[in-house]
Amino acid sequence: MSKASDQENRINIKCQYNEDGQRTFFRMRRNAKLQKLIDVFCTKRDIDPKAVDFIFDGQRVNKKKTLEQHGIEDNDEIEVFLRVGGGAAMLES
Amino acid sequence: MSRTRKSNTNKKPTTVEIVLGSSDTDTVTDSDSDSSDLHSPISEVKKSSMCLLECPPRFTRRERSKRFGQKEELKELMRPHKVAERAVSRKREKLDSGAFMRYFENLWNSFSEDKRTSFAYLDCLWFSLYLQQNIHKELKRDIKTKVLKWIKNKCIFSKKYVIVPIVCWSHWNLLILCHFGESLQSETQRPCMLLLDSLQGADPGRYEKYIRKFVLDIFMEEGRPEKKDLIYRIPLLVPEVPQQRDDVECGNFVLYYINLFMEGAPENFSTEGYPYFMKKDWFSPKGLDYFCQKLYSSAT
Repeated sequence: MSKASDQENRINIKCQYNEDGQRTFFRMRRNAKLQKLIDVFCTKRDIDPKAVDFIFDGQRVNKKKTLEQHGIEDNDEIEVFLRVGGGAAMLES
Repeated sequence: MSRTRKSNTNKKPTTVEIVLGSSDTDTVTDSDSDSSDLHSPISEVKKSSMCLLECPPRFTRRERSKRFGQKEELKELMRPHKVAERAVSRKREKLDSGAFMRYFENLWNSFSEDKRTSFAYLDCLWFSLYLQQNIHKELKRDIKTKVLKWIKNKCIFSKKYVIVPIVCWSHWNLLILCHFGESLQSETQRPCMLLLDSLQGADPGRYEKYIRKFVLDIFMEEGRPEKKDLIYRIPLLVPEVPQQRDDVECGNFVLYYINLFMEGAPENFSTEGYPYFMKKDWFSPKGLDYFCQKLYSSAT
């Protein structure tokens, strides 16, 4: 692959972490798997990947799919939310 | 355990020590007859204890000895007890939004295409994201707008039923929106909402304020002509459904409610037939356990 087309193949993606509103920017190949983005994001922000959900345009991302397969394009944004769990109600208001 | 210990003492004093978890294993590792003796008490433990029944050893005997050598094999033999405990507690774990949606999607896909067309679902995070309060104002508004936009994409007004799992205040419950596409004054198919809560002692009424606000915003976002006071008067029904037995299983209850509701939902949900099947004796704990087991195995 020539250098020019390789550059063309890369897109910019934003990741916004809901807990602090901070954005992290990525430049990745279209055929890169989401897993890579998740790994890099979590390492960079020091987050346990199992503690967060990644959502793109209302859809949970499938980490085995590539950016392209997910329809993620240049300058798109992915939201990162802390997972919420529950067992029983804690009575608080 | 008392049974096992008894049978052990009949055979050899050394085996007693092993079952009790002693680290002094050197005395029994060298001869074959010893290790075969060791197998019998373990298999007895398995038969006698319910929790151990569900947990097969991770490796066969041959694999174990290959992997760990003979000394390690003894440790492996002592492990099933602990592994089994863990296996049970895994089932009793609280569900988080990631695990919940994974199970839910499996469940959703198990229904026929035909069935699915009259239903829609919202992600379990959305309601709590809509509600979240301890974040920056601007970010909150931003997230709220996004959530409402995502809901709009789901075309919920063209569906008979909309499943909205809610996880709030460390508790799962299930909201179902019925016939939202119909006129609010319709005689036959009036829109209504169902709130299924497996912990009714915790006052499901506390959700009403937020649910109404949420629903109003969904109507507004969609640009529906209905008036505000009419939207606020959509009945919110809280049927008496089976209740959870401990403090962790409400997520499983919500999944089971969804499963049974999708199976049995009437063509036309009206207050006449209400509460249909959603009664106290809707299902048995056994049914729930069986359902959960199936669900867990489908996700691995």
